[in-house]
Amino acid sequence: MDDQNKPQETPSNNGQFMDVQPPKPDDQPPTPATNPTPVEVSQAEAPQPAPAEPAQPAEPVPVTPESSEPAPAATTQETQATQEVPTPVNTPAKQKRHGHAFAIILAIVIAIVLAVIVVLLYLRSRDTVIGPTESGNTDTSQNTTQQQAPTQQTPKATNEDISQTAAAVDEALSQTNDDSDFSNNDLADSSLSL
Amino acid sequence: MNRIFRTGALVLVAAALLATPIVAAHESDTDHSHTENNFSSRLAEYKAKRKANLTAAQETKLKNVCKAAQGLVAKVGQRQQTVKEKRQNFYNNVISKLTDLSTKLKAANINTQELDQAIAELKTKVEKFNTDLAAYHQAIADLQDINCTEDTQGFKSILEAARAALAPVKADAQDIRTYLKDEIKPLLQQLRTQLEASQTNNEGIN
Repeated sequence: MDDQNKPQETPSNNGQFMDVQPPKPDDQPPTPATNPTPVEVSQAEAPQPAPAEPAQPAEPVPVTPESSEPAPAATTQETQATQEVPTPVNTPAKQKRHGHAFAIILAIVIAIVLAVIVVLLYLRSRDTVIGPTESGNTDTSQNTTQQQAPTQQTPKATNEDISQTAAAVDEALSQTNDDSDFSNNDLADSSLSL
Repeated sequence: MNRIFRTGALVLVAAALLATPIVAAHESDTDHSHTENNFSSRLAEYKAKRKANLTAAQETKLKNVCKAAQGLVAKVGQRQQTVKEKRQNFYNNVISKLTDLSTKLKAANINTQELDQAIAELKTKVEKFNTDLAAYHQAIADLQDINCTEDTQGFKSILEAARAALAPVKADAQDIRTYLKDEIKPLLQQLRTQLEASQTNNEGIN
C-alpha cells in the first residue's frame, strides 16, 4: 500500500531518474492553455439553448501587431483561452449543418431506392401485360405440352382410353376440310369483284 | 413538420426525375421494336415483294371497286377466325388425349417412346400451322385496314401477299391430316395390341 503512494522513479532523457508524481484528483493542469477557464464555462453552459458564452467568438479579442508584444502572463493566458473557445466540436451551428447534410443524403438515398422500385414495378407490369400477348398463338399449344408425371395414383391405360384418343383423331379428320377452309377462291379477283 | 414535408417532396421529385429517363428509354426501345412491326413497315414489305406495278388504267379501275372488295375481305376474315378456333380446338384435343394416353400407358408399363416422339412431331406441325395461319390472317387484316383509294398499289400488294400466305397454311393443314391418318392412327392400333397383350400376361400371372 505504501509503495503505491511513493513517487516512482523513471529514467529521464539524460539517463537520470526523475520523480513522477501520481495523478491527484485535485491537481490542476500545469498550464491554463490546455484547460482554460472559459472552456469550463462553455462546457458547463453548453446544454443551455441560448448560451451567453458562444457570443464571445463573434467578438474575439482583436490581435494587433502591438498586442504581439509580450504581455503580462495573466493577460496572455486569458487571450489564448478566449481564442480557443470558438473551436468546440458540437456547436449548435455545426450540429444544424450536419443535420442538414444528413437529411439531404438520406433524401437522395430514399429517392434512388424509390426510383429503382418504380422501374422494377414498371418492368414487371410490362412483362405481365406483354407476356401473354407475345406468346399469342403458342400459349394454347404450351398448355397441351404440360405432361403429367406418372405417379402411383395415375390410372393405367385401358382400351377405352385408346378408343377415346382414336375418336378424337377421327373427329379432327372428319370435321375439317382443308379445301373449303383454305380455298384459293376466297381472295380470287372474281370472288372480290375486282 | 414543415421540414419533413419539404424533404418528402424532395424525395418524390428526385425519384420521379430518376425513374422517368429509365422508363422512357425502355419505352422508346419497345416502341421502336413495335414500330418495326407496324402496318407501314409491313406494307413496305408487301410492296417490295410485288413484281409489277399497276398500270394507270388498272389503278383507276381498282380505285372504284376496292372499297366493296374490302367488305368481302372482311367476311373472309370473320370466317377464317372461326376456322382457326375450330382447328385449334381439334388439334389441341388430339394432343391432349395423346399426352394423357402416354401417361396412362407408362403407368401400365407399356413402352411409349414411339408415341412420345409422335406427339412431339405433331406439336411441331401444329405450331408451324399456327404461325403460318397467323401470317395469313395478318395479311387479311391489313387488306381491310389500308386506305385502298389512296394507295391502290399497296392494296394490290397486300392482296397478292395474302394469296401467297394461304399456300403454306393449306400445306400445313394437309400435312397434319396426313400425319394423323398415316402415323398416329396406326400407332394407336399398335398400342392397343400391346396393351391387350400386357393385360393378358398380367391375368395369366395372377
